[in-house]
Amino acid sequence: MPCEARYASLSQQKHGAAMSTNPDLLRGSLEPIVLEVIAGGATYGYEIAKAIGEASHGKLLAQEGTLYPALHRLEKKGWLAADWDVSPEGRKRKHYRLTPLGKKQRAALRAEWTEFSRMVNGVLGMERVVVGWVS
Amino acid sequence: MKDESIPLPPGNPAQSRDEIAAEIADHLAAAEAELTKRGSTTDEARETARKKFGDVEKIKQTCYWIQNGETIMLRWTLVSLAAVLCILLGLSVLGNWRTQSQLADEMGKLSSELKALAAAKQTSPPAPQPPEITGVIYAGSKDKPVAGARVAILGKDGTVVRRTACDEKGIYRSGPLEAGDYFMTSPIQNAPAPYSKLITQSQPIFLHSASGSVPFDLDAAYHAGGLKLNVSRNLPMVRKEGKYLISSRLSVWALRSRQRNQPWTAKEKSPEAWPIYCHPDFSIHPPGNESRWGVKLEGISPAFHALRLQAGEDRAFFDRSSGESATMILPPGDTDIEATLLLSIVPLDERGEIVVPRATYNRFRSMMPDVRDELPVRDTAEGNTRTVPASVFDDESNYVWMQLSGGRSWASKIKGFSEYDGMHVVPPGLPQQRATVKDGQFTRIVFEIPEGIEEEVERAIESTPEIEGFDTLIQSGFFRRPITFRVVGYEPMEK
Repeated sequence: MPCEARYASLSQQKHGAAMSTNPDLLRGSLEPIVLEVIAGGATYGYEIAKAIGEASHGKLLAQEGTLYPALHRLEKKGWLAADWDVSPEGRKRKHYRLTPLGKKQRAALRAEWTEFSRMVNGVLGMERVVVGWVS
Repeated sequence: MKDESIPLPPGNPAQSRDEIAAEIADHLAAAEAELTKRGSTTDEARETARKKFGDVEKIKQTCYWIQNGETIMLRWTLVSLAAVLCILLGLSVLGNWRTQSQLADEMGKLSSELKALAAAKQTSPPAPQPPEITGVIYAGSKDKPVAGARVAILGKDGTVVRRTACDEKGIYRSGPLEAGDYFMTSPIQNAPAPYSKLITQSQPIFLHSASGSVPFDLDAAYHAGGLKLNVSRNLPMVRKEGKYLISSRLSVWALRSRQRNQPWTAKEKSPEAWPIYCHPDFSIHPPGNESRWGVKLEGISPAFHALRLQAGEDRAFFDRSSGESATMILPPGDTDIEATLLLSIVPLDERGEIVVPRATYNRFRSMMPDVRDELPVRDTAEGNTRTVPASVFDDESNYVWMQLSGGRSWASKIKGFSEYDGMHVVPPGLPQQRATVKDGQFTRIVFEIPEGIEEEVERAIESTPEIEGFDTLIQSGFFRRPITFRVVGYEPMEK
């Protein structure tokens, strides 16, 4: 399953309809999303951004450039590793992949997010909404 | 594309910055390509891609700081620390330099002061020399220095501490002396007889440790005037053969504090003027001296000139030192003059000799041993008296005269006379007169000898029963009476 398709289904499950995202809500949640997108098969920046945009209907990344700081923070933390390659068009391209540590952190973050979202949904009366992640 | 907005410390940031730029460029190119593929023009695609991406430079810078922030911060921290250290070191060096500079300035100032002090010390006057007295001995005026004049430096107690002599220019130097009071003496030049031994004594000269050389000139000329004496009439003298001899003599004493027989000292009352003249004949009664009759002589100025006029000598004043003289040579100034008429009565025998009781004679001889063998003595028939020539009575001193004519029982009957011990000139309480002596002039004075003294004495003797016998008459004594004088004029002294 291509990542764009997976993200599209995910996005449809989570949000249902298009809506703008509060940056305060996005801050802190972008890194788990990036990890999840990379785990889904995206490897370089534009591809990752496109996957997130498609999955969130363009709501999570109002500006694609905000992806790169998150990528570099994860790389700096050692959760991602990067390799340079050449695109079909002949440009240098940086490909990211999950490191073992990144994989562990992705699992932990998923668990935290599930628990967090359940608590928030409970508070907001949205207990019935099922947020599921495609593994 | 390089970011030049933030200067980064050296290291390996350039590659990271290029990688970020390449990564973003790849993103934008991919986005443009897709938009172009969807029908957008190249420019539209570029613009849309950039618009969707956001602030490219800000993203680059953020990524760069994420990748290199710690290193940059560490480097900047190190650089800052180094800078701070350098600043501190610089400040320290500057402070140290300023301190050293100030210290150097202070040292420079101190050095300058020391140099100035050393220079001042070198240029300051030398330590004061021990004090000394130096000057000229001259005779009368300073254009007449006395070559070879002897000079004595005396301490305040009169002791000689230094002797020296003048050079050919009359200049003397005492040499180094200790601080204190000093006097100078020098012999009087061309002093008239009988004052060949006369010396002049200066006023006190005080030397302190910083006096240095104290100039002092001394006049060694004999500045003097004189008194020419006369009497208003011949002195009383009555001779009754076989009975008695009344004789008299006039003693004149000139008293000057400027005349002494030895140098003045600080223990004594200051003289009336300086310099003073010292001569051995100007005898001094030291404190405690008394006459044989208990008259205290202390305080009586003994610096005197004495002239004596004896009855029958036709007004020829006699000076024991110089022989007959009617003049006194004295320092200029006021002079106290004491004149006393001495009157005595001695018994005479038929041969005209003086009859003396044996006891009186023996006392006389014991007190005057030098004239003992020269006296032609003859025992009287009574055995208790002896006789001596009347010439002895006339020629001997007042003392001998008094001894030969001892006794005073009738004296109270003669008005104006009193006892006289023959030892001093001015018994306390007797009046004195003052005459002025002028330098280079004689002051002529006349003593007023009262009229009728002889008759007064004769009446006293004749009316006294006790004097019928020689013994009683001899005991009647030897008396004195103050005599006044008057100044009759001045005349130049002969050179």
